[in-house]
Amino acid sequence: METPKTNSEATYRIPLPTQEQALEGSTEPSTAGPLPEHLLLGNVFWFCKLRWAVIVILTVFGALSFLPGLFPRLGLRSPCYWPLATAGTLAAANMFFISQPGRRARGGDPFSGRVSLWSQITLDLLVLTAVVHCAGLRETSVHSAYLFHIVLACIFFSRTQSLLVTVMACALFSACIMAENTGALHASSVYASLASSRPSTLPNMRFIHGAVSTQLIWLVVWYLASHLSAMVRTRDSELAQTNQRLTAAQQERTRHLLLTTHELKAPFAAIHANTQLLANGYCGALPDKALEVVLRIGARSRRLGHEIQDMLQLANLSAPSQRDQPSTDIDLRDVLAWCVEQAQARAQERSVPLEYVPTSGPIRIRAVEDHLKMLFINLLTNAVNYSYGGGTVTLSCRPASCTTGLLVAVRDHGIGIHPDKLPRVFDEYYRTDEAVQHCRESTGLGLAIVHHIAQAHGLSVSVTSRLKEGTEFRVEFPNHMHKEPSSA
Amino acid sequence: MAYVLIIDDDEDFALAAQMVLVSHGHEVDIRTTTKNAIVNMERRPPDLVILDVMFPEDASAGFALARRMRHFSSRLADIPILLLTAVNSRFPLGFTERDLDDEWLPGDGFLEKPTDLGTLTMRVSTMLAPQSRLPEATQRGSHASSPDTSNRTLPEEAVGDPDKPTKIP
Repeated sequence: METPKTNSEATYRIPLPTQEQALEGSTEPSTAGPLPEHLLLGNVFWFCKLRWAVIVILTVFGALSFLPGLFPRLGLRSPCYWPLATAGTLAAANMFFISQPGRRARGGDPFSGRVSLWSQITLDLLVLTAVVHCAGLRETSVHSAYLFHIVLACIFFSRTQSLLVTVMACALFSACIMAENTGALHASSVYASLASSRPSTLPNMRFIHGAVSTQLIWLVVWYLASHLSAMVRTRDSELAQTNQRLTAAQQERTRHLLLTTHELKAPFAAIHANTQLLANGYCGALPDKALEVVLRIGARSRRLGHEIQDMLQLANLSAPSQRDQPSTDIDLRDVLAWCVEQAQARAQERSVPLEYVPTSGPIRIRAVEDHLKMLFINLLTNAVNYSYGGGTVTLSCRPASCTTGLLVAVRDHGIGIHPDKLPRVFDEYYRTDEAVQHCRESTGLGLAIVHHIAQAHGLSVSVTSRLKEGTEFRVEFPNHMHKEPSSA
Repeated sequence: MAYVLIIDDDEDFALAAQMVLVSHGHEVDIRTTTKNAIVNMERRPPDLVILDVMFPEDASAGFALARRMRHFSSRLADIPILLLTAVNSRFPLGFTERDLDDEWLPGDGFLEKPTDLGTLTMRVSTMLAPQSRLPEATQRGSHASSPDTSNRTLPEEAVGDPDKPTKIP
């Protein structure tokens, strides 16, 4: 984009999507690479903690070897210096690795998580090889500890990198065998009787066969562990991407809904305001017929404003992203009080008393709060709209039968609904002739919104009505949504 | 008489509100962008601001202006703000009078569009009452010049104040 200058021509070109943006909608799974840097850094500390445990074990082992008579009684050589030397080396290395994030913070030359892990794994393999040699290459199973490193590498690194670690482990183990067999290194052992009994320089074919098969097993373990790890990582990556897309879609939809509502409602607010100027004589007296027309325009524009809101709410509820809205623990008592407060203005307009007797204790449920608010506001507004003037609308909440947790009822004393028409009242845009005659303000979408929300939450909604006497809508919450019994 | 500034990108609505408020004796100016409004207010601070929330260039410009007035300008900090918008609390991200908060959403009142102009006038008078301190006679005089609207109301229009705090029985 060129920098615009005051009073000069400027050009803007819509930027092409980046590769990342272009792939956003793609459903191809990502390849399983190594863990991201921040996770690797977290694991650097975990490795260091594990290493402290090894240091403690080696130190205790080394210290015990100095106790007179203990090790000889166990058939072990005494004293042992190598465990203490190894523990010291590991402790120094650990201090260095732990200090790296601090150096990074002070602006020094930092180790990245990846470099730090590689350094640690290389050092550990070298130290382990030394321990394998000192403990006794042939007599002990310390070399099995190479497997820990191989499996950990499979988890934290890519397959190629973990193979490299496996090859390093095999190479160091083989080098140790070769060094002992060729006499380059004098074989040692923790066992007192075996340390000097067998000449180390003589090749032991049985042992070499065993060592080769051990390394083959390591390779098989590498193959299985790295394959499983790659599968898990691919799945994890797919889930993370899906979650990211859903969250982004939800945010975008909510923002879009808000902007669309504003853009569509604002013009009707202006029309409504200007019709009031005409109707109320701010622009001079109008003839009766003209006044009648203006009043009709005003009423219609106000109704359109409500319709737009209802239509957008319904469209939003029908969107797939709404099904994944997270439920939270809420107090239904607060939700109902809020809805009554919202509906109170409309009730005052129509001279309909609105009664709500809250329960004495909290009513804990798990649900999407916005959805419940929409549901009860629509039921209350509906009840107010179709009540006779002075006919009370009552909102009540009480524990239901043993199969359901809670029952919320909205009862009005209004025009009622003919029994034949009851099954259709939840249809979109459906309004009975009696309803239209009684209140032109209704959009015919309120109960459709109630229907959508009830279905999404598994709520049971029923309606009972008697013509010219009133209607009761009942919403039953299942037990699993209700967290504790209410005290009505 | 008070000086009222309407800040709203919808000029059609703002002109209608201006006409009604002028007829009730107020001096009313309209600004359709928050930038112009700031310039206007620094030059002449109004007694009350009627502020739209969403503007074409920035969907939260109204909030930003309200915060700027309250927290970054000693001259404008005490001016009452009446927020007026087509968005309401029935939507996620929507809001209502209960959400007004001195830090995040500063304002002294909230009305949802479409609103009854009678309600708007009443709310403006209520909010100006402590500040304007006008003699009652002056107010009565200005009201006397406004057209008689007692018998002409839109069908099913708001009779009461929809934003009046509700007492839940």
